[in-house]
This record gives sequence, C-alpha cells and structure tokens, in this order.
Amino acid sequence: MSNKIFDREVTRRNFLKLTAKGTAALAASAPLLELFRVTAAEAEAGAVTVIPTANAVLVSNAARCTGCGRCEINCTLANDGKAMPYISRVKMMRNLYLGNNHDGKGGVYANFDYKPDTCHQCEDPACMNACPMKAIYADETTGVRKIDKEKCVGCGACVAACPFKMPTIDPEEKKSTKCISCGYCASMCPCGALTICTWEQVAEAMAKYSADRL
Amino acid sequence: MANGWTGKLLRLNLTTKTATVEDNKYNEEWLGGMGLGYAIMHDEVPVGTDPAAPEMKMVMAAGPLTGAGAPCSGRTNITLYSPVTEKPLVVDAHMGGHFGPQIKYCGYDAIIIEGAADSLTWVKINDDKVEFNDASEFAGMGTREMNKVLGQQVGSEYTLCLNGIAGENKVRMSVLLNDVNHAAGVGTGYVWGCKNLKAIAIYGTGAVHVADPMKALNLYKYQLTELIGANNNHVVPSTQQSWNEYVSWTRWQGGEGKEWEQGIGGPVPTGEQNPADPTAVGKRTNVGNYFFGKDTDLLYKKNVKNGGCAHCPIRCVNQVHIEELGDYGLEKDVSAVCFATSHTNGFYPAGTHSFTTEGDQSLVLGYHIAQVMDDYGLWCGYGEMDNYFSFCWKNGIFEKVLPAEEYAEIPWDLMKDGDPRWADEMIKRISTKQGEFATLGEGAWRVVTKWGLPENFYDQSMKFILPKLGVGLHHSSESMGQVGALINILFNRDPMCHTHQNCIGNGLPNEVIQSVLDGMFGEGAFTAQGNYTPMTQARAKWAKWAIVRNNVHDMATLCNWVWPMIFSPLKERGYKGDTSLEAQLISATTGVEYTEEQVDFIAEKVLQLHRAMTALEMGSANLRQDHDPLSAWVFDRDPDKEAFTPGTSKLDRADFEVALDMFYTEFGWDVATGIPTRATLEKFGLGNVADELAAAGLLPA
Repeated sequence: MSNKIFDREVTRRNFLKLTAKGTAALAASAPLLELFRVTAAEAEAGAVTVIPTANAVLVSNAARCTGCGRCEINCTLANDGKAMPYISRVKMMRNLYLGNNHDGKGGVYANFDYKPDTCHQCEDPACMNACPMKAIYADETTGVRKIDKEKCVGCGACVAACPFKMPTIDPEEKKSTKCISCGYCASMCPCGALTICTWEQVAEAMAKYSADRL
Repeated sequence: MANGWTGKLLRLNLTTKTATVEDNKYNEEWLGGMGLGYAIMHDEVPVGTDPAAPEMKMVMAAGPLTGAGAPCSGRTNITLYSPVTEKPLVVDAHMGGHFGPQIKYCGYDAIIIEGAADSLTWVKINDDKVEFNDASEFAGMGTREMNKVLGQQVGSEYTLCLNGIAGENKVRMSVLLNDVNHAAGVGTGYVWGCKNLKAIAIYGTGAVHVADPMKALNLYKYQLTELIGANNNHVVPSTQQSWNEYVSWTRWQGGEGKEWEQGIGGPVPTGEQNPADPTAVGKRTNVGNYFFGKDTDLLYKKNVKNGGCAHCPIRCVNQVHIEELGDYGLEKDVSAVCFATSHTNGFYPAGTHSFTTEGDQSLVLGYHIAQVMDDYGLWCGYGEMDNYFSFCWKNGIFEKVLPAEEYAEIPWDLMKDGDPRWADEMIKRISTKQGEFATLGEGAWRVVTKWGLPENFYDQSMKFILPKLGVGLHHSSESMGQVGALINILFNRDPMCHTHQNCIGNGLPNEVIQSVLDGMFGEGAFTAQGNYTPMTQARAKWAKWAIVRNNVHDMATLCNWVWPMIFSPLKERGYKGDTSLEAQLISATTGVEYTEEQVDFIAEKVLQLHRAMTALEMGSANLRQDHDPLSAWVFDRDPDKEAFTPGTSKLDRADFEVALDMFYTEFGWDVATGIPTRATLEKFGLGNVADELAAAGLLPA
C-alpha cells in the first residue's frame, strides 16, 4: 500500500469515473487488469462484469467461468450450513445451459458463453427499498446491504424488486438470502472467474496506474 | 433432518404414469449410488428379465456426497441389466454432468424407472412435482436440438437427461446423456427406448444438508491445495513452473504460454498453477492437448474453455471451436473428453488427411465424431464398435453380409476421403436402424454371431478382453499387468475402474510410485509399465483395493477418473496423498462416522453381490471357467518376446492362473469356481444371496 491516506469513497468515485463508459476502459490499466485477473481483450470484449460495491469490487469473468458451480456450493455451505444452489447469492447454473440471456445462443448448448451472476450491492437498492419489514439494511462499518433475519418474514418483496433477480427466499427457513460480500464464492473458484477485491487493493492498483502514466 | 442423504426414493412408473415417493431403507447399509442400484435391482428385478420388458427397471442413483459439494461429486450411477450381452447381466453405467445433484436437490437419493409408456413420453421433475408429458414433438430429435427446444420450454435452470435417436430406436449400443456430452453407456438408451421415455427434465430447489459444513469446506480446501492434481490425478505438470520438481507429459497441461486461444474475448492464459492456489486448479487439465497437442499445442489453439461436472474443480471436458468443420456445414462448437475423441482410426480405417495443420485430423475428426455420437446417443463401448466396424471393413465382411443394393448406396468414398460427413452417415444409419448395416448397433456379441465373424475374433482383437461374453477392455493387462487384467475379469461390460490407471503416467518417477504402492500393499504390489514381474499376493491386494475403492466412488458418488488421492503434487508430502479423504468427507457430510475400512467394507459388499448376481444370471456354477477367461492376445502378443521381459505388456498363462487364485482368495471366493462362498456372503450380511445361489445349485461346496 502506498503511504497515501486511503479514502474508500474517493477511490470508489475515481473508479466509477474510470469505468463510467464500461469495463473496456480497464484494458488500459495493467495494474487493475492484474488485480482483477482479466486480460485486456476480455475487458474489451465485454466478457467481464465489474461491480463496485460498498466494501469491494466484484469481478465476474465469462471467459474463465467453466460451469462447475463451486461458487454456489461454497456460498451456501458457508452462509447457510447446507449445500443449496437454489438460494445461492451467486447464480451460475441458470446461465450454464442456455447462456447469460437464457436464449440458447450461449451456454454449453451453443458457444460456451456463460458466467455467474452476482449481487450488485446497489447504491440505491431496490431490494432494500421494497422490503416492507425494513429487514434489509446497510452495515454501518462496511456499507454492505445485509438482511436482519429477525425482521425478515420471507415475503419475497425483495425477490420481486431486484432487477437482477438475485435474492431468493430459502424455502426451508422462509427467509431471504442476499449477498454479504463474504468472498467464499471467489475463494475457491477453480479458474478464477470470480474475484473480490477490496477498495484498498483497488486504490493501490489505481495509484500504480496513475504513476505508470506519468 | 437427514444429512448427506435425503432418505427418499422417487419411483416413476411409465405404464401407469405415476410417481411415488418411498422411504429409502437402503442408505446406511448400502451407502448410495452403485450400492443402492444393486440392492434395488437384486430385490426387485428377477434374474433373466428382458431389458426390453416393462418389468425391467433402472436405478439412477446419487450418493451421500452428490450435490453436497465434495470435489468431483457430480456423477450419477445407473444400474440396469445389460441389453448388449447375450444374457441380461447386471451392469452399471455412469454419467457426470449435473443430473445426480439435481436428483438430490429435488429431495431424492435415487430415481427408479419401471414399466413402459404406450407412447413417447418425457418427465418433468421439480421437487415433489412430477409431470408425465407427451413427447411426440421430440420423436426423432437429436440431443443437441432437443437441449435447446426442451431447455427453453422448461427453463434455463433445468438439467436435461435425454435419450438420443439411437435409444429411441431401441439400438442396444446406446447412451443416455445430460449436459451435452456426459453420457452413460451400455444400453441405457435402449432401456429408455423400450419404455418410451425420451427425456427427464429435472430441477430441484431443495438442499443437501451437511452435518459439519465448515469441516466439509476445510476438507475441500485441503484436497484442492494439498492432494489433487489434474484429471486422472496426474500430479506433475507438463511444463516447468516455479514450484515443481518434476516435469512430464501428463494431463496437467496448463502453464505459462498455454492459452485457451478461442476464449471469449481472446486468449485466456492458463498461467502458473501453484498447488497452494485453489483458484488455478481448473486451468491445469487439458485432456485433448495431452492426446493431440504434443509439440503443437493444437488443442489449445481450438480451446474456448474447459468444462466438466457439477462441483468438480478438474475441468476435463474440452469446449472447443473447430473452424474447419464449418467448411463441411457442420457444427463448429463442440465439447467432449478423453476416449470420445479417439474414434478417428476406427471410423476411418482407410486413412485420413490433415485439414489446415499437419496432423490435425485426429483432433478435427475426433471431436466431430464425439459430437455426432452424442447427438444420436450412440455408444461405442470404449472403442468396441470402432473395432468391429474396422475389422469388418478391412476383412470384406460388408460385401458378404450387406444386400448388394444397400452396399452400393453406402457412400464409402466419404470414409476413404477422410470426410467428416462419413461419421454422420455411419452414425445415422446405425442409430436409425437403416438396413443390415445397423447390426453394428447391436453390440459385439450380436455382430459376431449374426455376421459369422471368425471364432477367434475376440482372441485376436485387442479391444476385447472377455471372449465368453464379447466384452471389451478398459485399461486391462496393458495397465499394471496383472492388476489391470484382474480388474477386467470382474464386470459384465468394459470395467469403469480407473484407480490403477490413475497411477500410470501421473508424472512421478517409478521409484516414487513404487514406494507409495508397496508401502500401502506390501513389497511387489507395484510392477513397472512394460517391464512386468510375476504375480505377488501384494499385487492381488492392490488389485482388489483398486476395484473396491472404485466402488466407493460409485457409491458416494465421486469421480474415479480423479479419485482416489493416492498421490499428491507436493514434494513436502513425499508426493503421498491421503486415501482416508473419502471416509472423512462422508463422515463430515452425513454425520455418521466412517473409517476408511468401513467404507471399503460396504463397497466390497456390493462387489460380492455383483459376483453372485452374475453367477445367477449366467446360470454358472463356475465363473472362473464361464466368465473370467481372458482373450488369447493378452498372452500371445509380441510373439518375439517372453512375458516378464522389458518392452512388452504380455502376460504369462500359468502366472495368471496364480493371479486368479490369489485374487479370488483375497475376495473370499472359491478358488476353483470364482464364486463367493457362503461364509463370505454371510460375512457381508448376504446370507439370503447365498441361499439363492444354493437354490440354483451354484453355491460352491
């Protein structure tokens, strides 16, 4: 880490500015590419989804996703104590066969284009806004949107509201499941298709990028 | 709440179009998968039942680890009576993909299929909701098209297990498959065809409960960072990386400079794969480049990425883009693994030509043939069909057995020209039962019998190992000598055991492999490839363990093409793996504590039942004589060399009789007949099976 004082919000704003026109802009930044474990070509081709969240940057790379589903297993074993891909907070299986648009043009039935969908940890979260029980809240320390299991009644309002179809109601617990950026999905993704980077890491890579350009 | 298992079985009756859910009374006694399949088939399907009859059943079974997330646990074990052998004999078929986990997520340990529908039917399973649907719109449809059509109809989450055109037409050499190319052979498609079952679409929203989830996660990490190598657990990379002591040409192909060149967005580097990094495991394996890329990296040039089964970090399925196939109007994006890509010589016995790169024909034709075989759902029997087809062509059999008109209309020139479209023509004719040529789809025993192939066909053909049954080999005497040969006497199909094969060519020096295997089983267990030594009791123990552990995998379910973890990539471990990991995982998942020995005991019990069922089904009081004799080529190959001399895999007849004595003794079988004794069967709680053998006059005295 450089000896500059780290400011997450400044880093986040600068990163959003850099990627305002899409992830192709990452192609110019070797340090960020290295951090996100993507190539310039993958970024330019749109194979990479980069999601800036409150506490981290999530990277999902279609070029490296090989469809094993270990992300879904690790997510639910770590968070729910059971193997249950249906409630996983990262969702790959729904894209594996028919592709990311579920139209049969991608996926293993066609050209092998498939990837995991991840929670966007939205700044203005539709799930949180829709929750009638106010069960979804922003963690004071990390800013991550979490679910208060005590308040959640499993009504499914968050499921209906999310434009990315990411939350799921656990049919056994009758509670919503939602990503808390714990990182288990990425930690043992066997091809590095999922990466979670902290803002500190991003700040360091961006500083290096700036220094390289001087 | 059950952990590991769901405790339920789903029974689909095609005759009545009803689905019933039953308690699974078999689990702890039979573990799951193969054990469940054998127990149910033994209890419910009488000896001699015709595989075509509505009374025939099929058990599609998962195990306690299936769906629980253990590495390489995506497999489904299918038990049936083979329609390929003369008499219906009990067999297993196996497929990877995602079907097995979905059985579990729907809330079942297995699906039992019975009866027969009066018209073509497909079944939709979503948890406890089961629908029987008219499949007439899918009649005659290949699996590639059906994946897209039915997939969009049911939704993108559903895994589809399909019967291709071959099975639908009751071709015996047929498969079922899911996830495009994950196929289970030995006539599974035939059985579904006879039941008028075209597809099962399955999607579960339930859980596999895990007794100790954090322990399970830690065990997964332990395996990924300390034990696992690449496909076949090859633990030595093919390239020098920053950490490895040895370099050898293995299925561990990834490394610096090796890129999936057709990747989405351009070449994807596979890079350094330090064992400590679990996020690089999946880029190690490249089966296609291992076969086709020596000195050329030809497969990497076609690679989009590599796929595989549910929850497996070893991505053994090459997903490739082959532009050359477009020149013939054929599908360019294809996926396949291992033997499925190896048909070229067998399907093109007149020779082939390169396409765009010198020597690329085996790759281009191999992947195309694999794709067409999967599309039609045709089974090759690990090259049996290739072998008897090329034999017939080379020996003028077709001129004799085909009607002149049919012979004249077959476009043999496509074959002679090495044209990819020959594969389509050949596979279509067999799968649609077009003319006498389609006899090729009936399997070796019927081809040899009907077409009058020479009596010594099996003895001469190095693809066949059990001439009494017309059954093909799978890593037999050419793999660790007597070990591979002994494993190949056991089953009623090419044996689906890779335990011993995984120890060959894993990249480690022979002295390391010898040290580990002799350490496990005693001095003399190991024998070096192509330089065999006479049989030892330690080798009989090793052969027995290899097949028993394979059964553990088919019960759990785990993939025996990676497991067991005998070796490790780590020098600091002395390259020694951990064979207790299966038991540890089953314990952490189910909450029932198992030792390695306890799990092996259950797996051996399945083998004892298998052996007894085979005797009953064959009506044989002497399997040593009626089932187990090997093809003559095992002992007669390399006529200029003696057995147990360098440079040959030849075995010695007298030595192999000793090997059989030792092997039978290890299993507690009567040495004269190779049939389990009453004492052995009772030791495994199979006294009732001993009674059945006695009643049939087959129990050894």
